[in-house]
Amino acid sequence: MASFVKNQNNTSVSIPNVELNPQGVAMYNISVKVSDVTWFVQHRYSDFVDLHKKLVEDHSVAKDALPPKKVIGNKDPQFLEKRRFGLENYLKMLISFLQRTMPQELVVFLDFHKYDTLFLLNELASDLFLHGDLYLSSSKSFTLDSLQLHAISERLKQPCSSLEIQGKMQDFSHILDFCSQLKTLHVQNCEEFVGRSSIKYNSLPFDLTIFKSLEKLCLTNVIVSNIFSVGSLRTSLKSLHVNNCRVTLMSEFLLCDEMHKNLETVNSAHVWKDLIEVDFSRNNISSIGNAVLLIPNAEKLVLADNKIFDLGNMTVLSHLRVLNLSGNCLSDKSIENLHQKIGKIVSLSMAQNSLQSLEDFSKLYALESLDVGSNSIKDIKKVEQISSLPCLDYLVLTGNPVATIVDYRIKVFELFGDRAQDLCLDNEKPTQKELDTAAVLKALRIAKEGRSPIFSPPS
Amino acid sequence: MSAGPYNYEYIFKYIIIGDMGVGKSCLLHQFTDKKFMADCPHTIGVEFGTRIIDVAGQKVKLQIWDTAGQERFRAVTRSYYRGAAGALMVYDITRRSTYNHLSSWLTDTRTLTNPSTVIFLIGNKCDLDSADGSQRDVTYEEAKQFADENGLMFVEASAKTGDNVEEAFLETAKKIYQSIQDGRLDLNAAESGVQHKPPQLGSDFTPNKDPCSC
Repeated sequence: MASFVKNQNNTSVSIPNVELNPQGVAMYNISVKVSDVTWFVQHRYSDFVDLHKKLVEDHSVAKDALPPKKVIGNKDPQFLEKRRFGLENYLKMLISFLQRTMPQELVVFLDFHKYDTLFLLNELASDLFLHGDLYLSSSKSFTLDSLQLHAISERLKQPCSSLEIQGKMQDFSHILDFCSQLKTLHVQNCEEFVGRSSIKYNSLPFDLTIFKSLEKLCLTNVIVSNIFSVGSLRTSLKSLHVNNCRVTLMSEFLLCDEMHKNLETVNSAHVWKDLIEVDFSRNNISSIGNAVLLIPNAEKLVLADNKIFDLGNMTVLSHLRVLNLSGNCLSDKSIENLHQKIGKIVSLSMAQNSLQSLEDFSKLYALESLDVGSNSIKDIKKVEQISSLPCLDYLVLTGNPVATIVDYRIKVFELFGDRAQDLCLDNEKPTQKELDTAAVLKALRIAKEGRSPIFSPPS
Repeated sequence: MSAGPYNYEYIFKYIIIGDMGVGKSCLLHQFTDKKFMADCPHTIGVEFGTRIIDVAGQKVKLQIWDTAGQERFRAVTRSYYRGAAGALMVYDITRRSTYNHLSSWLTDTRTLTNPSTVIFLIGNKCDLDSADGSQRDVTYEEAKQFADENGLMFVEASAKTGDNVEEAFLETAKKIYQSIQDGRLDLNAAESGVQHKPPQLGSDFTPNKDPCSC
């Protein structure tokens, strides 16, 4: 990102070309270069006139410095070229004449407030001064991007600039004041490049030390190796969401402030002890591994849409109640002895994997909700393996081959016997007709086996 | 908007200065969180803290800059003097050298702040003053005399026990508030370090922030 304060003598502005927009208005492409950062901004002649007027009034810029108006023939290429040259010199003159004061009008005209540390923070500070309390009291979350966080981190390392204290509204304190109170932060980068500049969002390092009371952090499309310090987050954070960040191991974030992401050398200071909800959906994680040691108190773990085939060391998550592993690469082998790993699980989703059997779910006695939709379960007999789970009342099987067999629903309800009426199957409660048919089928089967049927009246 | 952390009338900016290891960060921490940090790391550059206090029936938000005591950060920390309404100058009563350096800290403060900045002298670590005075290196009387000669307010405090910590921050605020009342301090001046709470917008204002759905 640009730092005008550090590069006042290494800042240049030019107008490489002028083009006619679809409405036939001449648009001047202005290029601003601060050290090795470049960005473009487009203005028409009348924008220059407005700017000039303010600068003449408030900053004693010479009135005749701007190339004059022309009414007739003002789209003639030769004339445009001459004016382009004139406007370029005008801007060069402004930068050298006003670089000590940098009036707000010029900052905004040249988009310094979008790409430069100081001017971007001035803008953010006055927004937070005016509306920060309102955001904190009314909004659930506040969104910043890597550019803003990088600017804050950089600014903390620098002395206050003489350009900074122009108004108390722009005081950097307001940003830190706000951030130190913020409870929920969303860090999100939408594009690759920042606006029309050469700055890449994901090339910008930042730290999170200023967020002293943060309870929930959501990172979306952020390269986590750019985060150099997490400050006091390990003791304050309760909920963490790292989505679409191309992470291959959870420790990439959980140890992002450590040079070596070696789980064997971690100590209690690395543990995220208050973290209850952890969501690493939509990444490239293939194994859960030992990273769970860093989140021992997690109650909810969401790892949907990764490439997980190995559950690793999940036994340490003794508080885990909700686990979502949908959209991964789990096979029957990956979930062997599941009850020994996640015995207390209440809600489990393993939809869109490659499971063929349900045997390993048969001892998850606390299970209330199970989603194994879109797997490869073929045989209705496999479903029998979970029919005796005492608390199960929500089951998703749709998308499996088994869901296409004749009378599939009725057969499932039959397996659940008396508990069928409490079972919500594929998001639908059984109808009375389904229950009746299932009861008849069951009676027939029992009779066939030569035992005397026991009827229990529906309650 | 009447409840809790958003209800205040003024913002005062403070700066905490003094030699390395005198307990500046611990004083700030004790004041903002009412806790003592036993092994507080060296401050890198600057740290920040905030708390709302009550001054003569008015709610005032203090924005406090805690500076690094190490010489190598001096360029960064010096730039924070400007625009401070209150300066807390700290020394360690068990280390004479930190007291001896006060005059140079005071010179810095007087040169870099504005004339209305309230300077408060704090002799920290008074919990280490045992009955026989074995650890004490600077007497109360001596420091008091220094404070009086230079027109500073003064207490001995302990970031560890919390003794006099509140008092130091609150007395400074009272003095600043008094300056505003007397008209000696101009709220509108760019570097006064004091400002009004921003005007509140009506309820029709909706912040353009996304509803976080995750």
